[in-house]
Amino acid sequence: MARPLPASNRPPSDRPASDPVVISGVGVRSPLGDSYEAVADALLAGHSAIREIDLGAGMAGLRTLAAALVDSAPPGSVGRLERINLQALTAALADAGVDARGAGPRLGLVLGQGAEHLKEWEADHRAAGANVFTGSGPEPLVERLASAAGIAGPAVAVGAACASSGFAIALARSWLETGLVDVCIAGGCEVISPTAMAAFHNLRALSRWGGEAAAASRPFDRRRDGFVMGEGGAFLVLEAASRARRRGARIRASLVGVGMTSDAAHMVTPCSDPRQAARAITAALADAAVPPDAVDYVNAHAAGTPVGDVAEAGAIALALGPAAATVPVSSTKGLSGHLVSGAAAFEAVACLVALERQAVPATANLDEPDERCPLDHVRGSARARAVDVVASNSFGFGGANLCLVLRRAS
Amino acid sequence: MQVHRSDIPVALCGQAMIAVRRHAIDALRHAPAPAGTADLPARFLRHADEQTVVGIHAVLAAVAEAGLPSTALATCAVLAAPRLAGRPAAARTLSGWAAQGHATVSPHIVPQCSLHAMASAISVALGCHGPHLGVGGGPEAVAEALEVLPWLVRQGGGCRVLMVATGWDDEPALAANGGSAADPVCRAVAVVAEPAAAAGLRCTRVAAPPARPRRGAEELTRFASLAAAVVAGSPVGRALPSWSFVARRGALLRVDVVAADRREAA
Repeated sequence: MARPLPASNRPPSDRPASDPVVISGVGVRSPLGDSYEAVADALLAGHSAIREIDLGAGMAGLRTLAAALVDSAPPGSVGRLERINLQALTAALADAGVDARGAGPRLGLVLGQGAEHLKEWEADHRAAGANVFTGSGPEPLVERLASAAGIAGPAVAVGAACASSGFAIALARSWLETGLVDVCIAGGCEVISPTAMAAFHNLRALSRWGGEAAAASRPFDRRRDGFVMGEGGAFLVLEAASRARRRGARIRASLVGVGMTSDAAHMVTPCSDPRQAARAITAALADAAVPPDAVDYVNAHAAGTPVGDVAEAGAIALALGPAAATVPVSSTKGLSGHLVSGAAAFEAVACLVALERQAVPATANLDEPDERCPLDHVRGSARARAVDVVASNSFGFGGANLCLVLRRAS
Repeated sequence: MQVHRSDIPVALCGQAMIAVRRHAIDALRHAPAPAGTADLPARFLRHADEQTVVGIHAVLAAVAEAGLPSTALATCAVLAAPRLAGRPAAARTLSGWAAQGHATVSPHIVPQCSLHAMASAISVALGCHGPHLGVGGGPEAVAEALEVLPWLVRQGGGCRVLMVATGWDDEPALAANGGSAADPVCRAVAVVAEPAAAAGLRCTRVAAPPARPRRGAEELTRFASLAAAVVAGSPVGRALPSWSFVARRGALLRVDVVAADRREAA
């Protein structure tokens, strides 16, 4: 018979609090911009990237609303997924001043991944290839990215649906804490494909908004009716604070807390019971040794789905207790759309923006907050305030719950 | 040349390998769970990928071997490492689209055929509220999973992890409807891992000549051999052999078992 396990809800940290894991580089490829500064400006100004996009004749009869990337190749084309990921990844390394080819095996890569195999089979199929039928094809995406970027250390892909790139960041932190690597780059980028768009449409998960495209994504609003797909994402370079300081790197923030749980409720439908999501937030705050009332901003996962947003509001209320009434909350998906597997990393960047600019981005299109989501919503325009600690929620199909806590660089 | 090394403080308290020919997988979708484990929700595996069906039964068998009561599953984490999962459904979907348009695309294709899907299915079916995630997805999935396992074991101050790796012994050629003229074997190896006071597995990434991916059968059988040896334990003073898994970019992941009498030195 298996023995009982310890009941502690807090992961052991191998790194002293005085030497936390920090974020020393950011690379972004997003519909709101392809640089940290551009994304920061767009988020705080409230510029929406959601438009009607053309996914080809095969989508006849569907209104294809999305926040698409500006790119040289259309969605669904061969090589687009790899190129976009590589652009964000190499931008992050450059921002951190890390020479991957000179870093040797102590530089690792963790890629957050969703339905990438499906997307690559689809692109190949549309180009008259047969990889989906033969099982042949290129090396896995994470291997191609590592090879192209010159990363010699461990490289893995992890999948937790819409929370994937956040789990990648959490794993990277653990690799640093346990000494497996000295520097780790983590994140991921999503691309839109016709099949994914059709599947989400047929699932009735997408917004069927009939009005202005930019108003379709409406987190926490009474008239929300589903999410709007976006594409892109981000990569973060992580390393120990002491190492970053030694080499004179710019420290953007410390990653001080991680909490992860599962709803264990349903493969597709968001869980209406907020307890497990709340437990992830609570665990992340405990890991960070941050009391609820010290949180200055919660970047909500809120994608604009009828059930998911209410459940998340409940989770925030449960985890923060009385502080939930005064901690500012917003979802950036009203502007960027839902970047799916790239969402968590992109929203970590939104948190960096809040820490750096000392301002909380607003939830777009939040005209009438749902009374079942009684939070301190930031809406209308960005809110200037002191921001030292932020929490970022990410949830995924199948009930994956993740919360990351970031602290402003001292 | 040793590139890096990590010691995984785990003990394995249960393991199982299941190999099922493709024609028999549909029956397994409705098969009862082993005695003593939780029943799967009715029709739960109806839309699941074949690897998920076989993988979940391997996990149930490993849980049964470990003697875990169903109440112990609530705190477990889940780590699932499929290999090109979802290909039959993708073949059907892409062929169907070409013939009949977007309305034929199944709403289940993304939630059931993405990298997370098998881990989610296990988490939902067994009621596991610890973190769950998919890893790998390609030919190096076992090596990738072994580099993720220590992280999950450390969660919550020590977390039991249900880990499973799956794949086809040989990737089948598929027809437009996702079917195959061959009757390939789908294999799954599951272990129940739990925290140990000292390293139980030592993973060393070593430089090696570039290697082609191994067949699914070879990599999974190797993992099953490792799991069985660890669960059985080694006689004091006698070293177990090493196992190696392809990790690409000129590397192999060599796994040594750090036996009880060697843990102090580790």
